[in-house]
Amino acid sequence: MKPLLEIEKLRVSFEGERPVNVLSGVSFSIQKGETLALVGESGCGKSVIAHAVMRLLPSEARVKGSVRFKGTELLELDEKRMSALRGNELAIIFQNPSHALNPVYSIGRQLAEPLRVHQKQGKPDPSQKVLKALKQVGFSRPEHYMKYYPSWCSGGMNQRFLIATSTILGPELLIADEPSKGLDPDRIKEVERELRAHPGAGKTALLLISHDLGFVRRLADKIAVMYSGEIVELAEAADFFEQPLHPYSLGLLGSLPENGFVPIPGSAPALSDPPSGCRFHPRCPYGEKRCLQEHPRLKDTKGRFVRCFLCP
Amino acid sequence: MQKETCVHEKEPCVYEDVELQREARVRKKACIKKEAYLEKEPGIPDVGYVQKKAPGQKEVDILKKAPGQKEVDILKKAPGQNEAYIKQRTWQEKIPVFRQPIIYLQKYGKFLGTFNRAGLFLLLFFLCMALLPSFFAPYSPAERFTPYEAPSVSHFLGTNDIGNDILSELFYGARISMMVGFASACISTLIGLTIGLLSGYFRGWVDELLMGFTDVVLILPKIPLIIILGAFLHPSVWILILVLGLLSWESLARIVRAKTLQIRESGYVKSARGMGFSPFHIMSTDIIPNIVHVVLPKFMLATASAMISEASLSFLGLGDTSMKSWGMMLSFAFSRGGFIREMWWWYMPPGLCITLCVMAIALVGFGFEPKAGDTEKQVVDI
Repeated sequence: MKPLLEIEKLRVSFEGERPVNVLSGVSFSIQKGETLALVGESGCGKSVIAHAVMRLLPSEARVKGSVRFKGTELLELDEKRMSALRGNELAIIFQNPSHALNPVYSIGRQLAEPLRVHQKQGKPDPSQKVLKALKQVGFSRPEHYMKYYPSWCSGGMNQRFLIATSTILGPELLIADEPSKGLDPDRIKEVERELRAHPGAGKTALLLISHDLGFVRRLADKIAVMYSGEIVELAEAADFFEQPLHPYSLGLLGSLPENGFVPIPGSAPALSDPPSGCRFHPRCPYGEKRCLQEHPRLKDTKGRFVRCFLCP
Repeated sequence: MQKETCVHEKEPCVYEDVELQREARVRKKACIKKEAYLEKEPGIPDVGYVQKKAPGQKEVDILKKAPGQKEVDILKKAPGQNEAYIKQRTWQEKIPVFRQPIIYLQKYGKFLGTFNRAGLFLLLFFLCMALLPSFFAPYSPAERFTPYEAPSVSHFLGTNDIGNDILSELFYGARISMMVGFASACISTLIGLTIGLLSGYFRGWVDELLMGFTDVVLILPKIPLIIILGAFLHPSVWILILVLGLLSWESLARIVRAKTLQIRESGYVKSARGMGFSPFHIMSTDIIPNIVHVVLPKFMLATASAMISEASLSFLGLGDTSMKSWGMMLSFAFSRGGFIREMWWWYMPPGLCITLCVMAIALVGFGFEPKAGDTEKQVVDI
C-alpha cells in the first residue's frame, strides 16, 4: 500500500553565521489512518519536521530531501496550492493552545473560519457544523461556548477548541505538536480522547510529537525516537515499549517514574556542534571505541530500525 | 471542565420547605429539557460528560444554588437558543441593544473610562458644529452687514471687513477645518496601514523596498514642500488634503510594520497559516484587529496635526479663499486689519477653536492608547 506521507532524507539547516544542521537525513512514512509518534528530548528537531511538512519554516531554513503527500512532492508545490492543502488535507495543532487562538474573535467564529475559507460555501450555515465539532470534542453545551473568547477559557479548553478547528474539515493528516504540553494528567486524558474521537478520526493519520512517553504509548501505532536531529529507532509501539533496542530508548524508558526514574547522564548535544561518531556516545553506557569514530547507519533488524552498532 | 449530572430521579421528593419543593420542580424540568436537547442530534455520542455517579461521590449539579436566589436565566430559554452567560442577567442585559456594549464592558472592564470626558465632549461639540452649521449660525456666511462692527446683540462676535457675521463664519469654518483634518488623516492612515502591513508581513525585499521609500518620504521637509506645491498648484482644499495626506503616513507605516512583525510570529497567525488562509485573509482578519489600538490614536493625532498644518498654510495665504476655514479667517483678520484695530473678537475665536479642537482630538486619541497598567489586558498578548 502506498503511504500517505513519505519523508525521505529530509535535511533542514538554518543559515546564520554558522549554519546549523537541525535535521540530518530523516526518513519515515505514515500510512493512512496510522498514528506515528515522534519522541525525543527538547531541541532534537521534532517540531522542525512538523513545520517542514507544513512548509511553515522561516525563510532562513534550507530544506533538502523529499516530502511526498499522496504522491505529491510538497517541497516543490507553489504557495497557492500549498495553502489549498493546508487545513483541508494537512492540519497542524501548535504548541501552546492559548497563543494559537486569536484573542479578538469568539470561538465560534474561529471555528467557522476554515469552513468559510476552504469551502467557500456561504449558504449552508457553518454554525451547525461548528456545533457538531464542538460537541465531538466534548462540550455538552456547544452553543454556549461558541460565544466565548479564548482568554475566558482554560488551556485545556483552548486545546480542545484548537483540535476542533484543525479537524473540522476532516484532514487526512493531522500533525499534533506537543498537544499534552503544560496540561495536567486529567486534561491530557481529555486531549487523548479528543484526538481519538474528533470528526475524521479513524481515517485521519496522526503525526504526534511529544516527549510524554505515557501519552504516546496510549495513542501511537508506531514510534520514532529522535536524537540530535536524526531518528535512532523506529518501531511498532508495542515492540518498542516491550523491548527498546537503542541505548537512548532504553534510557528514555528508564527515566520514567514507573521504571525507576533513572535519568540519562549528561545533556543533549548542541545541534550546531554534534559529537563525532555516534551522536549518543558521550552519554551512552554501552559505548565502544568504534562508537567514537564511526557514525552508525539506521539498520533494519526484524522490521525495526535502529541506529546502533551494538544491536544485532 | 463542566461536569453535569442529571440527578432528578435520585432527588428525594419530599421537602419540608415549600420553596425548596418549587426549586426541585424547576430543576427537574430543566434536566428534562437538557436531555431533550442532547437527544436532538442522534448519532453523535455525547462524549462522557453526563457522568456516571461513583458510589461515594457527591452530586455535582450546576443548578445548585442558595434557596433564596432567583432562578438562573438560562433555564428559561428554549433549548436551541444561544446564550452567552449562565449567570443571571440584569435588566440591561435583557435588552438586546445593550448586550454587545455590555459584553465589551465585561471583557475590557470599562467602556468610556479610558477616554477623557472633556475631550469627548469638546470633540462632539465641534463635530455638531461641523455637521450642522446652519442650525447654530445666526446668519448665512455670505450675508453682508456693516463692516468692522464691534460685538453686539445682533452680531455676537461682530462683523469683518466685508460685513460678514464672524460667529456664522466660525460655525461654517468648522466643517472645512475638520474635513481637511479627517480626510487627510484617512488618506495617510490608509497608506501607512497598507505599507506597514505589507512590509511587516512579507518581509524580505518587499520590506526593504517599502521601508526605503518610507525613509525617503520621512526626510522630506513637509511644510516647505507644501508651500511650494501650494504656490504652483491652484490653491484648493482638495489639493491641500491630498498633499497633507500623502506626506504624513511614514510614522504610522513604521509603527504598523513593527507591530505586524511581532504579530506575524504569534501563535494564532502561525495556526492561521497552518490552516491554509491566504496572506490577505490573515492580514485583514488576524493582524488588523490586533493593531487597531495602535492605529486609532495615530489616526487622531494625524487629524490634529493636519488641522494645524492647514491652519498654518492658510495663514500663510496658501489656502483656498473660496472655502473659509478657521485658518483662513485668521489670515484675513491679519491681512485685513483685524490685528491693527485690535478686533480681538475677530482673530481670537478662530485661534481658540483650532486650539480646543486639536486638543480635544488629541485627548480622545490618547484615550485609545493602552494605559501602562493595562498591558496584561492588552489584546495582543493574552
